Amino acid sequence: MNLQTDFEVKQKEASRISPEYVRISIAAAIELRLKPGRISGCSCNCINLLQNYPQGCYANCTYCGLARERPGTAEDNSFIRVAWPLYPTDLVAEKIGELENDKSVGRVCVAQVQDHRANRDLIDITSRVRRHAPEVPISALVTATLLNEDWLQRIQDAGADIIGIGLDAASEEVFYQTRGKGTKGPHDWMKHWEIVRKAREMFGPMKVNCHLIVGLGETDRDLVEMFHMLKSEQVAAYLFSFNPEPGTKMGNTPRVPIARTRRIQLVKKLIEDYELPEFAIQFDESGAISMIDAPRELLERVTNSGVAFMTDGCPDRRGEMACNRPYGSYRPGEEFRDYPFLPRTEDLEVIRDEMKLPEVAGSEEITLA
Amino acid sequence: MEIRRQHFPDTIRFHNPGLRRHRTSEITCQQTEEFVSISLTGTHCALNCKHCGTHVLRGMNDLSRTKESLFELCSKLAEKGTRGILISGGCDRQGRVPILAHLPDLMKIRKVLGMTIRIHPGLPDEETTKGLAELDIDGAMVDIIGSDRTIRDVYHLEAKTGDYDAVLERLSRHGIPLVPHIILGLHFGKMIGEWKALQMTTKYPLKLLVLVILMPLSGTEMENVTPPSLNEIGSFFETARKALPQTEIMLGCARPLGSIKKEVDRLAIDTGLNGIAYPAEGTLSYARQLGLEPEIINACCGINWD
Repeated sequence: MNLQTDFEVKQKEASRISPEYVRISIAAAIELRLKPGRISGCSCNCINLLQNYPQGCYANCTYCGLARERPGTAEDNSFIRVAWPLYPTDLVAEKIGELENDKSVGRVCVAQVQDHRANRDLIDITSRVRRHAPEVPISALVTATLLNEDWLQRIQDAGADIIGIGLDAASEEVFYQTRGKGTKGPHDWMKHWEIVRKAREMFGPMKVNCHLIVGLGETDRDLVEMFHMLKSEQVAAYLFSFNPEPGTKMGNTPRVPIARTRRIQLVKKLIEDYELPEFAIQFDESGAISMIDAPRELLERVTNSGVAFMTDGCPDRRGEMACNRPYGSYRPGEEFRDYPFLPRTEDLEVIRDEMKLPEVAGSEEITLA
Repeated sequence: MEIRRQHFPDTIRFHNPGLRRHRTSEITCQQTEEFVSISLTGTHCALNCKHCGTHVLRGMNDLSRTKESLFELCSKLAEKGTRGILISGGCDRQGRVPILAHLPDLMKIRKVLGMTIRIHPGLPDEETTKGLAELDIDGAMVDIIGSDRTIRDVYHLEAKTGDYDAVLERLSRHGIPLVPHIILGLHFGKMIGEWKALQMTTKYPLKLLVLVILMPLSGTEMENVTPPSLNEIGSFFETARKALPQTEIMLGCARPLGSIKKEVDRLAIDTGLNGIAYPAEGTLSYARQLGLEPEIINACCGINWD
């Protein structure tokens, strides 16, 4: 392609903006039969839609592929490391409707970016999906910075039953440095919490989720405290793993050691579903988990069930995880960070090797309170 | 009664699980150790519902007070002659009884001790339900509520009737025998969601339906509540019988004591229900008069020892 036509294509893409156009993940495009191919090892049960504007996103998060200051045009850039092809919104909505008639879609997710049109267009896109698929569960993955109670109400009225909020950072300090004023970004920690709590009040228990990324500079203690707090408010915590996107500010920051990811996944599960009390986890002076005071047998069992290491995501209408984001936090051929399927026996062997549980497991005698 | 005669043999079952001691002139053979209730959380419950105030948990074996595992506890019970257990407990704030942590023990209890297992799962999530499916339990007992107001005002639970429907669907999809309970008069003595609850349960194949009646327990916030009238109770029994002509319906253990108990038990027989837990004095002879042969079982409603 010569430079002239390349420029024309870019021009054309830049004019194809939301609400008339949306980006969808490659996996979703395959599932909707808009692209040929198949996804190995799992199916994509959640159709993720992402708003598209010429500048991408006006926020400037240091780890994000859509950041304003990331070099390159928005169209070329990946998001959570995968490409997001652009399609007419009505075509996507129609295909979702067709797939619903065929076998039912687990869930649709409409994601906002930071843009002055984003609220209006979120409602518009959600309504279009709702028109073609009257029953499909819809999540709105929102930009808290843009919202207030009134907009949350309109999102609910348009048909979304779950609100996802990219908190991403597990502490105020990390939030400031990676998303807020520290990186000339528009986001504010307090504003995010105001929206989390308002949405929780309006949408109900476990119908609001906070995305949290492991590896932005937070400590294990930050994460553990966050898991407890979110559990007590009945807000879901969805874990992501930092994976550097080339060209972003954190493009050269290494990923966290896999052992840390695994331990965080394990304690999150213990806290959420096995009532592990706060005092049962001890930290060293750097804030890293130094000991988990739980019966060894329980740790083994929760590890072996494998569920702790699966991708966290919004559920389908039966309550089963629908959004599994294959390759969102690792490349094909790389070790899994989170599994888009229930880990098999051979995967569990790998997980156990990675986690190095004996280093942090408490003694046999200590039992859960 | 006609529906009953058409679809069921002329036997009526009287259940006497070990949850409480029961003795009348007609029932003298209760062995409380045969079927034992265990609370996984002791008397702790995050919901503290207004009709219960954790009182119901107090009569159960408290796992949280022993240092033993559930399997060890049950092994000892087995030595004393226990053949079946009811696994119950308080709920977390999402309405789940914390079963997940005890699934491997339960698996051993089922496989090694061969015990019959009934479960009060509360509102189990998908993961717990999958676990229960592998357990081969005799039944999951869920109180089905047909009114959002009752869920909020009595259970202090942020859930909707749709969540109860989803639990029935989930359990059913995983092939777990459904033993739903409907509590008549749960909303401070008023019947506001019971018909909807009945409607919800009839959508799924049931092992049996258990009807119970609000007991104004002393020390709870419902202490001074008047339970539904005999008329209301009788008409609900009839409606349920018609709605589920071929499904066993039992009058369960929770219901008001005293003189009304005898009358409620007779209503249950008159309207053609299939069995009664802890029958009042004279109920067996009343059943015999109507040509029903009593059968006495020292376990939860609908248990058939395997």
